[in-house]
Amino acid sequence: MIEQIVFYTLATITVLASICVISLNNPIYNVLSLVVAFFGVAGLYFMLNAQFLGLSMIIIYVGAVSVFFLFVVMTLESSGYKHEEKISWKKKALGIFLGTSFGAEIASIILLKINASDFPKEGGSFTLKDLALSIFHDHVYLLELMGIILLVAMLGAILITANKIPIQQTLKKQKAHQQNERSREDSVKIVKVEFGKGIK
Amino acid sequence: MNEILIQYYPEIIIFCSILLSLIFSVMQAKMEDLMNFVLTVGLFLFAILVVFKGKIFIHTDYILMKEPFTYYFKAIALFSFIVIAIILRKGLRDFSIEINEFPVLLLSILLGTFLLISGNDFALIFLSVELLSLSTYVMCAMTPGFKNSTESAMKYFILGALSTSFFAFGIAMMYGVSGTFSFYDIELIMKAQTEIPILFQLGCVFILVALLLKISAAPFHVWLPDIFQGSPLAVVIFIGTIPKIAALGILIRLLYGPFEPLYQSWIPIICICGLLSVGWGMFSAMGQTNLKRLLAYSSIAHIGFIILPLINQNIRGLQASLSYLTFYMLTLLSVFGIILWFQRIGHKIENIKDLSVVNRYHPNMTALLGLLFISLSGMPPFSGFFVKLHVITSFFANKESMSSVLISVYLLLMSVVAAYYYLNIIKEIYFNNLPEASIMKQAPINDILAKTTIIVIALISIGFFWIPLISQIREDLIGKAVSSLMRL
Repeated sequence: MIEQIVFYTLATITVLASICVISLNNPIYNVLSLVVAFFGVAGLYFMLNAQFLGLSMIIIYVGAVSVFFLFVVMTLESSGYKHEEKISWKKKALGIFLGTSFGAEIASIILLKINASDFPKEGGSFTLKDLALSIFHDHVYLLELMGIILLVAMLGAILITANKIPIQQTLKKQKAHQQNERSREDSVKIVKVEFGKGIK
Repeated sequence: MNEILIQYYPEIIIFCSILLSLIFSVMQAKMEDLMNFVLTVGLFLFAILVVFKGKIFIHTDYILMKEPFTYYFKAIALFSFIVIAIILRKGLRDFSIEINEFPVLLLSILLGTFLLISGNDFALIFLSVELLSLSTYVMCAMTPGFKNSTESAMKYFILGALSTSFFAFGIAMMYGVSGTFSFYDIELIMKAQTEIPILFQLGCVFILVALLLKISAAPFHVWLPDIFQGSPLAVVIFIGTIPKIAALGILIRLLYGPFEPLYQSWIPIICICGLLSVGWGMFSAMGQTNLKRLLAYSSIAHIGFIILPLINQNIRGLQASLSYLTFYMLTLLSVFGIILWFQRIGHKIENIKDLSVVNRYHPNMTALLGLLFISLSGMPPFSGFFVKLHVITSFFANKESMSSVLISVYLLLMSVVAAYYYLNIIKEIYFNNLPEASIMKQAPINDILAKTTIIVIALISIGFFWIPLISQIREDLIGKAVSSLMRL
């Protein structure tokens, strides 16, 4: 009973949020409701006992992708989004194609009476603990190797982008010892200038 | 746990030395000291390999395989590594600025090579290919102000990323059918089935394409000439040898290990790629005036000679392939070593014509270079002739098949083409009007150790079929490697 209540709540949140994504006018609200939709989907994954999938949904989509979307939206459109008055026939055709294909998908599920029991059951639950054991115990050497790869990648990125010229050549600062070592004889020369001829 | 750790001893040593050299380079150690450190690590590993030679672990269920075959490939790779470290010991010099992180990249390439050669698990192989190629991309791209460097590195990177995606796709297919990454288990599953599923064959094709791109066999070779031309010699000498040894090692082990039941699908691929690379490499090398570009095309052709005998699926073919690989790697090392040595003492060598200038100052070294080119072209008294003979006669084992006779005739004809452009270099050196001398202003580095090493390697590579002791060692090692791979 509780499971069903939780499921329907999560499903409603997800569906409402997805409707908001395409119907709201302010693009920032769109992205925020996308985040809410992702949370709902992550909750559904948790209910299916796919903990890692749920967590990675939150970490990758909510944490990285939507924040990236937000950045793009905020930097691009400072004056608010304007609706296009005319939609070009290409976009219309694409919309019709996608709409009919999704509609056909849903219709086929309903018409063919596909039940959840037709799909193969998962073979034993694969929890976060199993995943951790697999990564940090069975394949621990591969994990170490991944660490080295990341190290080399970081080193390479720094090597390629960093300024190759040594700091002493680029930095403009006083060189005190050179200034102190200068004598009057090195730097000043007394010349008698004849009238009208100038200095060579 | 201890037993498993002992299994990984060379890799652990390289891993620790990567971290150490990173610390040294951050502490702004001198380039020469860093290269000496790298050389020491190489020599130490070589000593360990020699000492532990008799104690070879065969655990088919571990992710690393230790057998005479992997031992042989590791020995070649490590030998080339030591030679390169000796040659580059006195600093890089043809970079505009000394880059302290270079030794870290060298060692990480060595780690990738070791893991790739002895990997017994698809996940491990994928990761070590990544490690190997990432370090090589960085090596190509990090030379500031070198002409074409960035462009060639970009090409290499994009093609490498493509090959990685193919590789991952192929591995995914293999995993999808068998549910395991282990070579051993995959081979067992494949042998148990009467009809091999199509996904296995597709996965095999994808993985082969990725590896052929890494060794630059013909339809996948476009990146190699640009990389050779666009990178400084110190990088080229590295990229041309060690990653190729690694990729060839894993290719041969895959073909004779887990992919053996699939021979009907891989024999045509290897055959077509081999024939194409021999032809393409030979004919494209004819018109080149840039020495490094010419060597790149000739390297493509020689790769064809190395992979073609594999389609025989017998001991003779495998032996021919391995001895050709050894011969070619030694010769390439000494050719690049001599050219690098010329650059060190102040001669800029970009085109073939520049060699005739050098000939006036250093006739002995130029003569050695000429001998190496003659040996590469396959003239009788030198070992180039014997390895080519070995390759061509390996096709005579099955006389009834028309195609193998045709292939051997084709290889003979292509060797004639090769003789044309290698002899052309010798003509350029000795029978040409001398252009104006172009001597660089840098102070020459006179490195006696490097010079001696280069000369010794060159002499070995010229005569390694008839110098008594060395040919004995070669036959012994190759025989053991082949019999371990064919499970005799």
